[in-house]
Formats: sequence, structure tokens, C-alpha cells
Amino acid sequence: MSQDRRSFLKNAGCAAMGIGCGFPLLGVGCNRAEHGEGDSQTSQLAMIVDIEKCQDPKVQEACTKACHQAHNVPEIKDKHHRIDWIKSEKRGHVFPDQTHAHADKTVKDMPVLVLCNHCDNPPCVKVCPTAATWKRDSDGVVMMDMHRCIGCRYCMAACPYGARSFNWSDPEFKETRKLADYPRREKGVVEKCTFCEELIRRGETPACVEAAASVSGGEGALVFGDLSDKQSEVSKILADSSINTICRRVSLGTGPNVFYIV
Amino acid sequence: MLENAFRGGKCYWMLVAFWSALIVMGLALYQQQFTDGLIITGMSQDVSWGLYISQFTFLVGVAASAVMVVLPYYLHNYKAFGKMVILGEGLAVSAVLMCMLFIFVDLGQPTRVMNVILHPTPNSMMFWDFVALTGYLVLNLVIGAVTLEAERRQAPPPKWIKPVIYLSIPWAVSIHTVTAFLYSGLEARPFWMTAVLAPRFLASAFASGPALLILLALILRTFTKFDPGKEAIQKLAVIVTYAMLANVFFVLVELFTGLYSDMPHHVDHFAYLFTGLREGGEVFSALVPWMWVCEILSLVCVAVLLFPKARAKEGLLALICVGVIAAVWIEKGLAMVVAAYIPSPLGHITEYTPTLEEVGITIGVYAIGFLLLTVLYKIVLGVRERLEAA
Amino acid sequence: MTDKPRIIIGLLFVLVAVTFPFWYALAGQTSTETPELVLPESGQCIVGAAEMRAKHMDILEVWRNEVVRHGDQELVEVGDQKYEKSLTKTCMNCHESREAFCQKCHEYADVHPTCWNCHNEEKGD
Repeated sequence: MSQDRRSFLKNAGCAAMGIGCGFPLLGVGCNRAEHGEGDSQTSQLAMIVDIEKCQDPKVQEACTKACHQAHNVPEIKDKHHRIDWIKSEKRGHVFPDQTHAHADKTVKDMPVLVLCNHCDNPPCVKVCPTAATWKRDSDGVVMMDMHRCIGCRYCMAACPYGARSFNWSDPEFKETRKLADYPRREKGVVEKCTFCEELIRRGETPACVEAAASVSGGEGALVFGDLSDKQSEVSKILADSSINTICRRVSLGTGPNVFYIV
Repeated sequence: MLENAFRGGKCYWMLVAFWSALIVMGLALYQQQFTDGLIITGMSQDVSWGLYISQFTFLVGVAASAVMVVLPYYLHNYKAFGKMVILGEGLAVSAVLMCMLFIFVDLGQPTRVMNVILHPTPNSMMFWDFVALTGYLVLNLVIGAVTLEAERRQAPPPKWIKPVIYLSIPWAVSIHTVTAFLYSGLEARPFWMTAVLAPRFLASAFASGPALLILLALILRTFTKFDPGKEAIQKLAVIVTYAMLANVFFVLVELFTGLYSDMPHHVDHFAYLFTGLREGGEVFSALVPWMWVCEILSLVCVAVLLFPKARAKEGLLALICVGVIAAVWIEKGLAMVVAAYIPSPLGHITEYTPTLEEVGITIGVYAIGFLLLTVLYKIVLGVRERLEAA
Repeated sequence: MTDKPRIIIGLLFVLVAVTFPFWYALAGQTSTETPELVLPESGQCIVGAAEMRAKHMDILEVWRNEVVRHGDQELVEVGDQKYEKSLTKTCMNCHESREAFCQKCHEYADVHPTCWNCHNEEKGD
């Protein structure tokens, strides 16, 4: 088969373009290998919040303060730009599907601690265009990679729980203590609770759980553990039919792993 | 062919200077945003997408609308669109570029934008939107350049351009569908999570895009020797009529499902738009006047467009086209994105007003798009004027 | 001959542009002396100085991906010492101050790594 130079160049160009278009597919393959897609998840960490015990303002303050200090979360006065990894919200807003119109006002306004639910089927992970957030196979924590986040805020649009915060400006650190071993964030990235992954990887418990237990009357306000371990306290509480637990917005199908004792 | 961009009369250079001045202003403001962060915008933790993303939503429709001239001309040999097609493709290129720029200025970490390509994530609709928009930009640039060059040489275009043109037709529909999918798959935002969002996007695109094309054609006819032909403009007006009818129908359908069901998740967002929401003694109704103007304008424009005699009066048609573009802009470029965040998933009401800096950067991006459009159209005009002189 | 002024202006502009690196550096008064680093009193780095100078960016990037994205907690063994894969806990533990150590070479080479936008610049509490 004889081929003149022009058609050879044309074919070579098409082949080069085809290979070039194949690179994203290669990248996808590498991504999958990186995250071990198809591997089964070995465990799922979960948290149980006792609404009654967490009503104590001392418990709430201890939890939020411990978390924000442990992670260098800046204290921003402006409520439209404040960053919260854990916060108190009114029960009527936290459980809109389980609060009826005739509920007493004290019930509707009851403060409830809310944080990232580290869902089984996280919509934020589904939408992230760079895999800057992903669900870890080893323990089910929904992680954040601050180095990769491009700050598109698609995850914030997708989260049905308002768990994520964006850094609208460079966080000021004059008031917060600078911890040697935990970084802060720069402007333009999204952050959220990571179940204190830097502590749990050392075998310690999350800061909020520790803080709640240190407040008198706060023992058991927050319980943390592995759902796949049937002997863990979280599994035992969930298996106990005399304890009524609910989740936020179950009907959305996200599969949250933060449970509330009502 | 490209040298036509550098040869022009006083009018052309003044227009280029005007766009350039706006671009410089936009760049200066963007420099401030790059340094200080997105805090200079009016967005907040509750309303985390605002003017930039809503402009992207509006413009992706304008970009897709090129298919409305390409399809009849290339698939059905509708010869009357012969002079119009290149204008549609130029508009598509300019609109897609603006779309990509709006996403870029909205990013918190724009220097990391290549992460979308370096770490492709097929489960994310934003990744596919990036692919679709880039592909559409390249397609239209290639098609426009090749067909114009063929016209300049007064020879038929190379055979391989035909399948490329045919590809651009479903691709145009896909850019809009993918953009709608960005929104319509999110269970967190019931205002967006409706199957009719993608068809709505298409309907409003095919109304606003051809309307803009009509205006551009009329402007070109007034200021230059270029005349796309009365039949082409009238056909576009018919397309705008049917698309606008579909758009109004879809809005009514959405209102019915939302309001008849009485579900707070649905009703609240429509209530915020059309009547305002009341919480804790405060009334939140910033978008209410805009929405009523939008809907009344849509109905009036559609009503006038239904009459062929009205469409035939080009002065009136131009006015109606401005109305159509304004109505679709309010609906897509203002209300659609923001209303899904109010109330927030935790029931909070945080209103959104763009800051002056945000508006300035938006104007800067529009100026980049219009500068590109001016230059592209100048090239087309230059080529056609030479042909007519010869 | 109406093009003459345009040509001359153009030539001047090109001359200024081409010599930019020279007069800009002179104006900035940047020094070309080898940077003087404040070294830690004792201890040994995980690899030799020459290798570290060439590879520290790659080492840090590999550590970053391993720790953050793969949850890899394996310690780096150097002789009988074990170190965590961490800029702050390992590197900054010995090289206590970014300004006294890291910045000296970075300024000389005019590179601007963004690590310290988030990670601590000084050995903390």
C-alpha cells in the first residue's frame, strides 16, 4: 500500500489527537487505582449525639471550642462568612422532616450539634471535579485534600446538611493558638469536619468527643466508634431497641453516619 | 483572512477601545479579588454561588443557540440562513469563552484549575461540563474558520468539515444538558432537582440566543453593508416565538408542581422569588420585583410574537428581542442559581446582592466576549466585502 | 519617511524589553552571594545535604500524597531513628524557622512555594 506524504501526515495527526484524547481516560484509570475503587470498605466510623445531654451550653461550647482550636479554625465575626466544623442549630431546622407544626417552641428551638455526617453515599464526593474530597475506604471518613481543592464550591451546593464552609478570605490568626502539628487553610478552599482524622490515625478520639466527656454531666453526650465492630459502643447503642435514634434527612439517600438519640 | 481584524474605520477602533477599557477595569478588579479572595463578592456560606455562575448559566444557553441556525442550514438545506450561520458560530465561540471565563473568575484557587484535567473525575458533572465546553469552543472555531476560508476562496469547503458540523449539532444540545445536569442531580437543592430543568434550559436558550442573533444582524445591517436577508431574520423570529412559548409553558408547569403540591421544600423557593419570605419579623424580597418584571415581560413578548405582522415590523421585533433577552437573563442570569440557596438546607434565609466589584468583574468578562465577537464579525465582514468588491 | 519615528520608538521599546533582566535586577539590588543558612545545632537530616537540595520538593510531594490521600502512616526509617512523613513535625522540628533556613535559598533562587500559606512557619507549641 503506497501512501503519499500528505495522507501520512493526516493519519499521523489523527492518531496523535486520538492518543491525546486518551490521556484523560488513563488519568481516570489511575484515579480509580489510587482510590481503590471496587475494594470493599473495611469499616465505617460513626458518631452518636445524645440530644438531651448536648443541650447543656457548657457541652456545646466545649465541643465547638475544642474542635476549632484543634484545627486552627479561624473565629470570624461576620455570620455570613464564618467557618464552622461543628455548630449548634435549632432542632426544627436540623430535623425538618421530623418536626411538625404543633411541636412546642422549646422543642423546635432546642439546640442540636451538627457536623459533617460522613455519609455512606456522599453527594459532595459525587460532584467534586478534582477528587479533592473522597470517602476513605479504610474507615469511611469523608476526607478533604486542601492541596487539590480549586474552590469551585460545588460540594457546598451538593451538601444537604450545610456542613461545609468556604474560606472567603485569608483567615486571620491573631486570636487562635497556632498548633505546631496541624496546618491552617488559605483563602479559596472549602473545609469541614474530618472526624479528627489526624487524631484517630493515632488511635485517639475526636476532639469534640473528648471535650464533651470532660464537662461534668457530658459523659456520653457524644459517642464515637466503628460501626463494623459489633462490640463498639456505637454499634451497641444502635442495636439497642430501647434507644430511639434518628438521622438527618434520611429520605435523601445520603446514608449519614451521625446518629441522634431523641 | 485574519488581517481584517486590524483594518477598520473609526467606528471599529472606537468600539475596540471601549471594550478594552472595560476589560482593563475588569482586570484591575479581578486583581483585587485574586489578592483579597472572594470576600469582595456578595456571596456567603449560605449562598455560595452568585452572579458569576449565573452568568455562566445564561451564556451557555446563548452558546448552544448557534445550533438553531446550523441545524436548518446544514441538515435541511435551508438556504435562507446561508449568511447567518457564520454569525451564529461567532456568537457561540464568544459565548462559550465567556462561560469558561466566568467559571474561572468564580474559583477560589484559580491557579489550580488544571487539576480538573490532571485528575479527571467522571462522576462529577463539572468535569464533563469542562470537556463539553472546551470541545464546543474548538468545534465552532474550526467550523467557522474552515467555512469562512472556503467562502473566501470561493471553493467548496473540505469534505471532512461536514461530519464535524454534524457533530456540533448534538454537541450544542449536550453543553446545555450537561450544564443542567450540574444542577438537576443535587438532592440538597429541591429547587433545582427537577427533570424539566434540562428542557427548560434548552427552551430559554433557543429563545435568548436567536433573539440576540436577530439584534446583532439588525445592528450589522444598520452600521455596515452586511445584510443577512429579511427571510433569515423572520425565520429566527419564528424560532424565538416557539422557544419562548415553550419557556413560558415550562415555567407554568414548574409553578404548578411546586405550588399545588404545597411541599415546603418546593414552595419556599418560589415564594421567595414571587412573594418574598418572612422570618423573625423581617421580610426578604429582594428578587420579587425582578421576577414579576421577568414574567410579565415574557408574557407580553410572547403575545406580540404570536402575530406575524408584528414580527414583520423590524423595529418592533428589535424591541421584543431586547425584552426576550432581558426576561431570560433575569430568569437564568439572576434568579435560577440564587433562589436554590434561599432558604438554605438548614432553613436560614440569607439574601444575596452582588457587590460593585463583582459587577465590575462581570462587566469585564462580558467585554472580553464582546471584543472577541466584534473582532470575529469584523473578519467575516472583511472577507465578504472583499468578495463583493471583486 | 513617516514610518521613521514609529521604527525608532519600536526599536527603543525592544531594547528596553530585551535588557529587562539586567536593569530590573540592578534596581532590585538583589544579592548574588551564596545564602547563609542557619543550620540546626545537631542531628542529621534524613538524606544527605546535596540529595536534599535536589530532591526535597519531590520528597515532600510524595509524602503529601501518601499521607493525605492514601492515609499512609508508615514512618521513615533512617538508621535507628524513625520519622513521621511531615513537613512540620519532622523537617521543621530541626530547621526551626522558615525565615532563617528555608527562605534563604528560596529567595536566592526566587521560588515561591505555597506550603507556608497553610503549614506553620515556626516550630510551634
